[in-house]
Amino acid sequence: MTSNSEARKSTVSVREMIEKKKATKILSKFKEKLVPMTLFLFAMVSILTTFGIIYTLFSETVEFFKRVPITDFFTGTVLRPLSQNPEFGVLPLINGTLISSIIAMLVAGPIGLMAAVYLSEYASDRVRRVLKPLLEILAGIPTVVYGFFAFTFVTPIIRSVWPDVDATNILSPGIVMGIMIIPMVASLSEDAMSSVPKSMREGAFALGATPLESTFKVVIPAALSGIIASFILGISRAIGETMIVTIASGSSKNFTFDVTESMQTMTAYIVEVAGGDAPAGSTIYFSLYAVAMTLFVFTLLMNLLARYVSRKFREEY
Amino acid sequence: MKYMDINQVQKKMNTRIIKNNILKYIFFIATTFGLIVLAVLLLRVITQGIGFIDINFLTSKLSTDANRAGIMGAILGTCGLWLLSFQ
Repeated sequence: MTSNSEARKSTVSVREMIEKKKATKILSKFKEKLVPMTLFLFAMVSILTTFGIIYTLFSETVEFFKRVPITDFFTGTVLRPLSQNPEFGVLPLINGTLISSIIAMLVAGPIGLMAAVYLSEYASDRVRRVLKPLLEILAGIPTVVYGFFAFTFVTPIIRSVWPDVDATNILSPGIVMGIMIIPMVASLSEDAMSSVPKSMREGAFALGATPLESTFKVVIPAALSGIIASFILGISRAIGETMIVTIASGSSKNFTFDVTESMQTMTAYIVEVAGGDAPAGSTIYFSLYAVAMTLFVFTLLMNLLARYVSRKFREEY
Repeated sequence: MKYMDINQVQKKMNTRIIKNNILKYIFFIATTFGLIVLAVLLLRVITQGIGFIDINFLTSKLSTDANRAGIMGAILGTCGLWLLSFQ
């Protein structure tokens, strides 16, 4: 009798437990679905922001091309946005951007690559552990500081050697931009080179190669995809760089290949126009978006190219 | 059959080793180039800036009088932006 009642009691409690469990199950199922949804929304924030930016850029650029023919924009060599009869040729800006980036890469490419070779092939572990973080401090300096460093220190030095150089010129911001990019090229290339297996170097040494020969004939060819990708990312950084060129290169919209003269890059133009002379709805205001769109296309192409290169030419070991 | 001319190899060996050693120093100089620029930059910023930093400069507001001007507004603005982007 007692055992019977106990049994009944226990069955009752089990049923209750099942009921309870069912009630909480709905809640927990709801929770299970809710959490990924919320996380998804958070992940979408940055994607939606990107789409918002692209949409704005695109619609305002279309508006600009209704006022200024697209061929005039891309083939015009004169940029006079503020004159009585304004002209909007983007070539001076593209020219300035490309020349400053080329100067920057002429500095950052060789020096960055040599630093990478030293760090990965020659330096002892202890030296590397000191030098690499020190070098990466360079990448953390605010670009504004680099800007007035170029203007107040590098330009006077260049002018004392080469007096033809103007007070604002494209050469000194180009060089300083290169210095800023050195740690990026060096550390990405170094990563690529030190991921080449040790056995390959040892093979070269066993055949009698010096470290130099093993570097140039074995390690660099094997790490080429990573090295090229680091160069391209460096170029893309140089194209998007704003403050250094704005401060040290002035705002003359010259279409010239003379590095001693002042030029304006796309980014510097955007700073100048957004910083003052653009009433909303005017043609100059829409030109801002057209230039921004061109700049965006440039950096996007560079980043895609870097991805393509590092995939296509990857050597697997 | 002779695959290698031992004399030839030995003749070249010295120049190869010298080349390696010279380039080693060039690579080292390239690595320190960035650090030298960093040192110059910091030295200039610090030596030219340190004399102007005092408590008045840090705590007073913008002013048209350069002697009374300070960067409190700029500091607060930076902190505000910083907090906002981390929220």
